[in-house]
Amino acid sequence: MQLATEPFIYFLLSLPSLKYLFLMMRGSCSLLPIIPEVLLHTFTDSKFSVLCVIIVQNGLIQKDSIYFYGSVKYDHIFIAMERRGFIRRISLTLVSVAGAILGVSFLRQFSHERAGRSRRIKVGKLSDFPVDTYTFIGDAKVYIYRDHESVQAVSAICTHLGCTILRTMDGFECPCHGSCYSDDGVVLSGPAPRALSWYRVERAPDGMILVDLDVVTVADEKFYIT
Amino acid sequence: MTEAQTNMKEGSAPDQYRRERVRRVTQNFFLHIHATRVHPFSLIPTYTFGLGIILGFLFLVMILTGVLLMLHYTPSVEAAYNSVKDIVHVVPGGRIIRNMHRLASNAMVIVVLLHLLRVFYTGSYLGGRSLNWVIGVVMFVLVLLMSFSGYLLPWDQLSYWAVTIGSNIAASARELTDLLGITSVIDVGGFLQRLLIGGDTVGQAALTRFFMLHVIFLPVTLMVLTAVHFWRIRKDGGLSRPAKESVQNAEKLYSWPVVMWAELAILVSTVALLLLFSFFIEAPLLEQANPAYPENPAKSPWYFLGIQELVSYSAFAGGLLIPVLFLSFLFSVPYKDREEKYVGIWFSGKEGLRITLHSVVLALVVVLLQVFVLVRFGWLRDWLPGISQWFVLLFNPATITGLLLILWSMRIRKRTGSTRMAAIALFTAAMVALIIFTVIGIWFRVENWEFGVV
Repeated sequence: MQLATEPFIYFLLSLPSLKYLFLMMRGSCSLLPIIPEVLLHTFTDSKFSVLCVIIVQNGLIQKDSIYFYGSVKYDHIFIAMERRGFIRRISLTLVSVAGAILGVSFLRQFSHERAGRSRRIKVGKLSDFPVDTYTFIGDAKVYIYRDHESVQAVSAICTHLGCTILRTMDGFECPCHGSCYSDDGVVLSGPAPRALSWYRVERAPDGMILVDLDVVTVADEKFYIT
Repeated sequence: MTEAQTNMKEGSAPDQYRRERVRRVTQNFFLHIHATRVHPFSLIPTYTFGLGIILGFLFLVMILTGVLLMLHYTPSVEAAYNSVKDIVHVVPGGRIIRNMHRLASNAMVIVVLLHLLRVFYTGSYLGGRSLNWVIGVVMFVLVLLMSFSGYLLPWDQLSYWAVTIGSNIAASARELTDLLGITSVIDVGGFLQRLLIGGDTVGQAALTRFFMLHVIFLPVTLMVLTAVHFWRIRKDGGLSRPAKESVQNAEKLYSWPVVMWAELAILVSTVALLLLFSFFIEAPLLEQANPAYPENPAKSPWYFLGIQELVSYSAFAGGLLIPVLFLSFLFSVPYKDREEKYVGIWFSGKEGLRITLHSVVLALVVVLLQVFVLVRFGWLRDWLPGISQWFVLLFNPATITGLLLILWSMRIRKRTGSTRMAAIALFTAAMVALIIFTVIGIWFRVENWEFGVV
């Protein structure tokens, strides 16, 4: 689902230029009937064969104000004929479209997804985990909980700002901003927005306990030791 | 008027001296930054306190010491920590250079804040100086980003966890999208986080990025903006001053040599103080970064502890919402408030001073009361376990303070009918609130971010 995110953000980032395009289109739509005239005037030496935009803002007439599209309130837009302005608008549109495309490609460089690396981590032998205790595994940043019949893995990363949480008598506490979680990973107090994640536990062919950080489960799902 | 001032006045010195003084400035690339003649009001020490020029010199010190540090630093996860250790213990003079770099960065944060206060309270964003104010606010943010990107580089415990927390603040936009249930469609938080650290966790990609930001992107941007900032001062007609006729009509003084002497004095004393302190105040270097365990308490440098305190109420509200609101207020001030008559007057006169003091008291009461309740009785989650995250996000000391301060400013606007007074009210109260949160973060947060005296 990550894939859907980026194009949308790029779309948002390119909105300013789209807005400009939209205004441009609105201008040229009403211009359509007179475009042949513009072309005609290009070949003649008419004084008015130039396209320009006049915007009346708060009663003041501002020529070419369309370039300040970010901050101008459009009360009325009048279109008159001026060739130079027309060419300028076309080139500005092209430049802004090209700029938007380049900008997006540039930004993509900074947010590319790395090649998917498996995050299945072997955490140890079954006998490494004492019964009825939460054991911290630094590599995977999880706590492994084992009771007499099953093994579970709960994330050791605080959902607030990503610090490693510490085990307390009856749950977990984050040393960074004091969020407290119950044994089930439910938020008890503090700023944490979500409960802790639980991960799928499997047994590797060599008998080691394996945590798959890519598969999030719920606190009720257990890996039963048979 | 002293004899020296009389001498500098136009007309009182023989023609060739006047020409010489003008030539000194106009024919020199570096001095050309000054006008050939300055208004005497600009030279009153208690008007500017020389803060802008101090910042310029501090930036110069940062660049020089930074280049020296860069000679010995290796931006890789394996080698970074040891290279910084080498700088401190092996490189001749390395300890002093690193201490100076760190002290100057701290000084920059303090002085840039004081400069912001000075410019705001003298109404110097008025009178056609709005663009320069906006550039200044951008530079203020850049200085903070420079500090932030700088302390990832030693790759010690502070670095690792500060950047982990920082990047998760960027990712905390997810809190909002989660609540709206649209994270799977548009994950702004994740995007920002990847943009910042190049992945989900802090690692080599993050170090490379922050190194690039710290030594190329941010300093170059800051240099360009500094140039524009200085240039705008001249374009805007020199430093701000009251519109009073007696001030406006005062005769200008030649900048050569009096301004140069003043600036040389500031440069020398700035560098001397930095050198002196860097012999005694050591830049901290904690243990090498350990991704498994954070420090307890994991505190960022002091200037970010106000934000950290806000973040401890809600990551999204305290880390993104309130700072963005505050910055947009700063950016919009010169466009909302155009009461030119207040330019160049400290606190805009007696009424402004009164409103400033009232705002200080109001902010003190509002913030301390909430922190008292929070510490003594807990907050929403302690009263109503399982309460929706919406409430945690929307009703916490950060957002409530923000809301009350905005209401306060609107009230002042209504009562006085002046946008300048409303701006003073909001600015003062917000600054005081930030200072209180910072003080709490520095001295009253202990292990597990519990309340106590350090």
